[in-house]
Amino acid sequence: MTATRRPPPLARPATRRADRMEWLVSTDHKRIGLLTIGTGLVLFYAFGALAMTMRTQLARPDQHILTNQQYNQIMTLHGTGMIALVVTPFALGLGVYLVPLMIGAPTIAAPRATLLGYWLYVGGAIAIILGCAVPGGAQSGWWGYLPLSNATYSPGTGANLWVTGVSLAACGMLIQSGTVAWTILTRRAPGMTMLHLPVFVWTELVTCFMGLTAFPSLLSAMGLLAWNRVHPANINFWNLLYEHMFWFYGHPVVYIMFFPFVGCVAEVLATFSGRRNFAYKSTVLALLAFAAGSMAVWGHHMFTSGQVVNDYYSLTSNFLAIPAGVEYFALLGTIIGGRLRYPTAMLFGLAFIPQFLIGGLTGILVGSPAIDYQMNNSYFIVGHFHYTLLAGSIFGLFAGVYYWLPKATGIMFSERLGKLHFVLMTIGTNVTFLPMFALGMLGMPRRVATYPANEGLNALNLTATIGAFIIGCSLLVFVYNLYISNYRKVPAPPDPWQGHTLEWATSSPPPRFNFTAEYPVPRIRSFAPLLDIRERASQAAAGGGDRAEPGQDGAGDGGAGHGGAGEEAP
Amino acid sequence: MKITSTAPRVVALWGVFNFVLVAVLIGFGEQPTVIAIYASAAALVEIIAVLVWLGARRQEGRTIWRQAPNGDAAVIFAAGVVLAALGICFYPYVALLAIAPLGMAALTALSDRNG
Amino acid sequence: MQFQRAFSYAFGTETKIAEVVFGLVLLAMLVAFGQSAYRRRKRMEPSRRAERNVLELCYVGLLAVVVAFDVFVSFSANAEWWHDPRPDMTVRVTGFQWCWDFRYLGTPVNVSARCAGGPIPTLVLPAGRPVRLQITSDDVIHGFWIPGLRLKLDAYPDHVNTVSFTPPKGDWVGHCSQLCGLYHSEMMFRVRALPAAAFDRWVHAHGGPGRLVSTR
Repeated sequence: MTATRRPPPLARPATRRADRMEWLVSTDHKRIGLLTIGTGLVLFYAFGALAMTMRTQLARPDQHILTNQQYNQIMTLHGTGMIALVVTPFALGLGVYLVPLMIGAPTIAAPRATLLGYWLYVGGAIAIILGCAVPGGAQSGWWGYLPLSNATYSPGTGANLWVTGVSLAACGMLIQSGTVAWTILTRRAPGMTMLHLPVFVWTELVTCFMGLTAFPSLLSAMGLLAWNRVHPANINFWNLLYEHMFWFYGHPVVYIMFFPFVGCVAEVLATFSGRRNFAYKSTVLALLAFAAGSMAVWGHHMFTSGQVVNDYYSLTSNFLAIPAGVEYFALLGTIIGGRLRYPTAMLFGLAFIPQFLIGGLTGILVGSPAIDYQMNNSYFIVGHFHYTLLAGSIFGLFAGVYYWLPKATGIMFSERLGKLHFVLMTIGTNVTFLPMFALGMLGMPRRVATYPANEGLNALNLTATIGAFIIGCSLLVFVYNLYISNYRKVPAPPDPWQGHTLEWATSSPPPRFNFTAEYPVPRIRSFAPLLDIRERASQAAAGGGDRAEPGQDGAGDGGAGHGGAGEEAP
Repeated sequence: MKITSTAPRVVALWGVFNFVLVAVLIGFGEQPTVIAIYASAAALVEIIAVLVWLGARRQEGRTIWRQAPNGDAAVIFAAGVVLAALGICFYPYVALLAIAPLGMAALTALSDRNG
Repeated sequence: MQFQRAFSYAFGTETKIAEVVFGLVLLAMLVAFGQSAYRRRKRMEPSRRAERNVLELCYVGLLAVVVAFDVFVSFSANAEWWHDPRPDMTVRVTGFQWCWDFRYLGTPVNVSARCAGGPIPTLVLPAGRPVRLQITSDDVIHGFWIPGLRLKLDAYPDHVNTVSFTPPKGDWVGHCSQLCGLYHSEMMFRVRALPAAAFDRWVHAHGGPGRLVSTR
């Protein structure tokens, strides 16, 4: 049922400098979203290069390619950069771009505030990166514990710039959390009830909930740190308070960096299985419970402090396995019973399932204090969170990118190059991070610039470094794909994949206000409106009067004013 | 069914989930300051729920939204804030330079509103 | 020794559960691929069934049971880890940038070093006797980690973390596990547990009393 008639090639409009400037001050949520994601992507490569530098240093024992100070700075920048300047902006930028389209809205709520959010994020990135160019660049890690990060132990302007940059980026992302959430809650098209929202939109909503509560905590932590940089004081109450305020943000942020990408995977799996998301209502409830639970686990980063109620955080950390399990049930239930197609987006989505699971299961393991006392601050944890973030979330990101890039740009991308990227990246990711669990078990601490030659860590570290370079190669393939596809410009139809959700009902790329007379918002009967239309059409073609299968989520939660019987004029 | 009545309830429900977790935290005997951090976050969620309810009521039935003019004011404002922040890092009085772009941003925003 | 027992119990149990879960998910994916190939061959449409409530409720119930079990394992392992035998002696462990200082309380014995390219200090303990460690810091937060003993506690300035345990006979290496500045990776130490008599001889040789732990 693929489209056999391609639309005529796009005439390439003359780009004027004024056009490019228009992008930077645009209030079109699609442009703001693309700016956010695009900036994140560029920084992803930059901070990824830093990671490869670290891995080069760690390839062999007792190396001093980098000085300890350089290593600590690079390590800090890699962590802060990836979390605050890459994956969080990816997560919110996806929402800025997709949410209005998916809910049938013409714009995002408060577009100028959304744009402000983007530019504050950019300002934060500039401040953080500038911090490396001045004396005393931040080297206390992305968490910056007091008192190491105060002015006594980390003097210099560089660390001040880090504090400022983190605060600016946090403000930017806080604003975007607000506008995306407001859009979802108050700007839905008629018929788009809360229980008709696509799974991706629900993941964005809970992401924004966490953002609205977590970013203020980060700002408080940065305020405390800023105060300590002006008036250094080594008081245990403040040191611990900083940890609490930091991790109260620092744990939800890792879920901010997860939920939108599991949403991408859910959409991709549904489309390429040819059926709607399984167990939708349970997924919604699980997402809400999961997000609330993730606000309650932050103390598991502080198990070894000896100063928090470890059992509570262990209880809440283990509890998260229940909503996570429900979500996995839904993902697996979507592909079982489907007729699967395997374009690049689907491959990334499928790989997400076992890979994120490794990260999640090792997370449950270290949610037990008796295990975490051994594993905390070792390479086991480094392996754990790279499995959730890189093997999980970034794979989910690429699933979303390969899926939605034709919609956003109006051009199709090379499937061959996409699959090459996928194969290399899967191999590279697992070769890099699987050995790290063993390294942690063998007693290698994290955040070390080098390690001794006689502790049996050499071969595993070298393996991890080789894997890192394979990941790097895979990402070069991706860049080449972007370049060559932009050169070939194979035009993308409105719905190249037979998607289920509203963004596929408009042109590629969508018009300024998303839906027009030519591409109106279709009838919304469920969270998969386009699939509903196709299924009804095929039922009508097969012979009218076929009854809907039991269990089909048809008109949804009732009371929406759209009765099951009879078509109304759109 | 009003399209916007469920939304505040979803937010409020999420806040309630968090309050339950705060209650359990109190049961485990965590320090009061820490409980205050979590409880205030949960309270913030309920405040947001109220704001959503008020905002949704105001917007009920509206299908035509005011088109936003370009984002010049937002960008200038951002530049002002970043300049102030960088200024504070290097030399506090440099931050005063930020008054210019912040003022410009305010004027631009006002003229957008009127124009 | 309680840290190793607690760790092995928790890690062993939970890893087995994790392996089963991982295997089941892989199996489910294989079922998906197999079913899909079958539907494609038979030219069947994808299933339109979008929920299976009974199956799901049973599944959530099963998850809750497994999680409750995990929590039980976690709580009991944690309780065992913190089970404090009454100590025969106490060592004050102080981390500082960038090495360690071990002060044997009640005696003048004090072991310290500079690390960073030079010799690293050795914490000598009596094997088979309960000892208490009071872990603290002189400056920033450090981490006191003996991987071979499965013992880790952070060292905070202005705060003392206390733990008691009975070391077996042996030799282990120790690391600083909390980023503490420039020479964090060089901030290592050794731990050596000697039989009681040999331990007392060591204490006496380092300026301490003749008998610290041996009984007459």
